[in-house]
Amino acid sequence: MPKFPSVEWFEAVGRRVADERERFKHLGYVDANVGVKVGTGGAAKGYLLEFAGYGVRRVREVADPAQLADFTIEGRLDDWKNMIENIRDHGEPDLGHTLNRLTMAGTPMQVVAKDQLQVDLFYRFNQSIQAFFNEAAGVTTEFSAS
Amino acid sequence: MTQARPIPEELLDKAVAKGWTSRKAAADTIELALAKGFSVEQLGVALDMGLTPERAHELLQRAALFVRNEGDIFNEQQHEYIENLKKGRYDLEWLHDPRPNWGITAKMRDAERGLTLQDINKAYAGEPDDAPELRTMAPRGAVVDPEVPDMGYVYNQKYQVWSDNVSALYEEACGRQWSATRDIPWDELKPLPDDLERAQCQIATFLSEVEMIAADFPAKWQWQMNQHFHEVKMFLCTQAMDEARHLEVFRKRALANGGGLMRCLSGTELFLRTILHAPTYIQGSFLMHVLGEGLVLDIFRGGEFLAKNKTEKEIYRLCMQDEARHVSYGTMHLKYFLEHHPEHEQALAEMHALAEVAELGIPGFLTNPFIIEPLAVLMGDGVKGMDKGMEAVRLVWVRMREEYLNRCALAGFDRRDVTKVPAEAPF
Repeated sequence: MPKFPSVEWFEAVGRRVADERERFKHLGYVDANVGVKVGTGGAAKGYLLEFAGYGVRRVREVADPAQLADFTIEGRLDDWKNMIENIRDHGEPDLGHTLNRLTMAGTPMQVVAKDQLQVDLFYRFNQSIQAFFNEAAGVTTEFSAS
Repeated sequence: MTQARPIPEELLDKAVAKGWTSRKAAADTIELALAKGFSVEQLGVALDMGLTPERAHELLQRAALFVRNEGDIFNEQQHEYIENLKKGRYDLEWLHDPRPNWGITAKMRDAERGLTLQDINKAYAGEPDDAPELRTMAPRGAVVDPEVPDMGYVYNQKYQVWSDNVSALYEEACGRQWSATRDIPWDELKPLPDDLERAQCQIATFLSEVEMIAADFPAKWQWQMNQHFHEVKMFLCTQAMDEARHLEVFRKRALANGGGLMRCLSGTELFLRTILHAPTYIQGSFLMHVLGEGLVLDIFRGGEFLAKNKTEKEIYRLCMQDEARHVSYGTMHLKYFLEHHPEHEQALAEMHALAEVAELGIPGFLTNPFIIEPLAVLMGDGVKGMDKGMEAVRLVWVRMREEYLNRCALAGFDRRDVTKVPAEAPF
């Protein structure tokens, strides 16, 4: 059972995306390196998801995803956990747990990038990135201790 | 050859009324046209459509294209070719022409994705000239006849239309097209309380009203852009399609759930008119791509708060993706324009002067009760929750301003210290 967050967990999701190739192809390709930051301060874990074409080409654990990613989605472990559990419970997020919803102003998570054009990539590829995380519904997940 | 015919006085009157220099000059040109086989009726229509004396002479110089015998549909050149064909003789000039660059094999960077514009641009004629000599529709890199007509393009300088991300955005747009009929889960739309339905319908009416400007505006300028910059024109075609779909999807939303189309305001129409009638492409592009669509992008993103069901969520999210492409083009076009303008300082000053006036549209937009109150009702989940909803509107204000200023800064157009948009909502 892959643990969240870990390279194995993102790779497990990525394999499900690969199995659903036609559906993801319909959504359009993604040219972006997406950072994921889980937690805050020194205990935070960072990952770089290298999206290419219709799926994820490579996942790496990195110290500071913001240095390498086009944009990074940041949140506390509990926020990520709530989102993933919500996706698991409903098969997809309910109205309150989409990535876009959770990263709006005044909400627990955020999208950070070096400039606005890269933030805009999050908007441009949103459907595909959301669909990627929706595949978490089929990955039995163990969570790291908060 | 057609027999000389008297020139009807009405035709001469029409030519003079349309601004032809003199009756005598008009008579000479019309006589030549009649001699070349054009009819009085055809010339009348051409004058109605704005045929100028210059254009008429340009056309008439290409005599071979138009000289025909009475009742004959082929000209002399075509007859000659037909005779050769009958004898089994082919022209084959195109086959033996040594001039085309030959042996080009564009390679796919990613076979699964397919052959992209970036792939073919890498292989051949991928970098447009800053100031192409020709004004034709001939594909960039093709062999062009020396006597091709001038299309009358107005935008013949790369900096006037280009953005460095335009090829990628075109491919992205093609890959992310969706159908407002097929891809929206309309069957998940459920009846809403009256206040929410009215709010959703007011926003849908507003969006259905404003979105098509981003199709009409590029359509107006597109033909004036030199086809040497075909990637820009192609991208603008995708934008026009996107906006048609946005009009469609919001009109459908307004009419699909027991509500209806609501109010359209003169203030909104005035802003749309300003965009549509902007005197230059860069001015209109800034008003529309950067300012207007930037604001609407934030509304679409805020759709996460506005949506009351999966149907609406999907609508806003898909529109957000489209809108973000348009804003990205506009931002990078502004950057390219300013960086490559031959008189940078003057161009910068003119854009600041425009922004100073245009930015007043943001506070106007965000103090319009027909916009912010429905937003607040939706964000607050009903009229009773409007106060809470207004808190979200205040956050939207701050984010809209911030993202707008960030985009300007990225384009080398720093407005942060001079912007007219208040940092926070004044309510």
